Amino acid sequence: MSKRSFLVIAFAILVALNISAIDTLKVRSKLIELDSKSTLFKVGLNISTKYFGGLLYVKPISDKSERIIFLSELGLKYFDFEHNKITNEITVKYAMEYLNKKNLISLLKSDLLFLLNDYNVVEKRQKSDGVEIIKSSCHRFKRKINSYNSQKIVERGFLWPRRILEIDGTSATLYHKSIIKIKLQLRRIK
Amino acid sequence: MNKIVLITITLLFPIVIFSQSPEYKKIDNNNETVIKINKAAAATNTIKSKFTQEKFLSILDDKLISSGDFYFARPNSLRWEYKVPFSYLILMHKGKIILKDENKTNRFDSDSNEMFRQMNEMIISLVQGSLLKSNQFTFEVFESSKDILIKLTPNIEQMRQMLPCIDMYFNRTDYSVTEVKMHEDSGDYTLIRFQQKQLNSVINNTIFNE
Repeated sequence: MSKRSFLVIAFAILVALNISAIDTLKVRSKLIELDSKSTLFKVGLNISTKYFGGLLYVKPISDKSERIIFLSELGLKYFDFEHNKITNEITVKYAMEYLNKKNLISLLKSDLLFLLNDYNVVEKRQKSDGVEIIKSSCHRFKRKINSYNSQKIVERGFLWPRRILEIDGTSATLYHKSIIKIKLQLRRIK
Repeated sequence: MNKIVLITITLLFPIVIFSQSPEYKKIDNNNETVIKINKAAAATNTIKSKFTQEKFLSILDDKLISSGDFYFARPNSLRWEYKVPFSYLILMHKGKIILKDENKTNRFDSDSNEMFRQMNEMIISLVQGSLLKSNQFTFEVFESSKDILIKLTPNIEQMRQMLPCIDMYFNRTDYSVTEVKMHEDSGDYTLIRFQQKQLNSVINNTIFNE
């Protein structure tokens, strides 16, 4: 195949996929003011029939990292995480012994990344009845925007969605679509 | 046991710790001052107060401030309510314990559940001042011209790992608790200040309902 033929075919595919714009999923910026010194959330975590409530405190340490601290309303520190924005990894700085469970920490780390990360992916944008649907090029995430402050992000799984994140203004709800029902709710309070 | 320790500590967290200031002088545990504190606690039938809570995070050099209302009535009714910047309610009344936040309300029967029975007893004894007679803590007493500091050290190892000590400040006028500060090993602490406190005022029992 000649170079010219390849370019023509590639262009045709792009048109077929209706890629009209390149955008990034700035999920985080809807929840956290980018220039804020710190952000405090009220948090509720449901795992099956268990409920776990508290506060989530996010504070930038530098351009490269931030601390994420999960504590009770009464001030008791449950977890202290450090998020490296460059490598997009979360490390545990402290975990209360009673809650220092591998599965729980893994779940929290994964969900925090999903909630707080910027998704720098190329997307396909479609408009239908005033609703904008944006699909990531890697097909891992799909975003539906109802308004500036209301959006829904779906993380695709093999057969069905793996997680769904709904953001409404300063509140967010993250659902796991798995056998064990998991729901994480956040509301920014400061 | 782990659950008991965790939940007890969580609920006791408002009951602060205080670092010993140089101006404080250690006094004997059977000193007249301690006797006065015990007598004042025994004579306290109700407490109505506002409170401010400061959570200091040493690594971040930052404080999280919250505030709300506090009600206590003998024998064992308690309403501990955070109002700003979030709502969170702890209710203890007639053998029931209710923990309520924006998303969920959890109800427990303290009589049928050993864990909550112990938790209920510990919190109420702390509020009543009878914790000084408890075998779950050892304590030291210090006094200054301004107030009295009682430094509590948990006897339970698991509790001590999380909370090396709980310090309670009492004023010298009515011997009631004015501040509680709870330090963690990391240098973090939680400080609760009681304000506009009214002792033995009339409290309508309905305040202890949801």
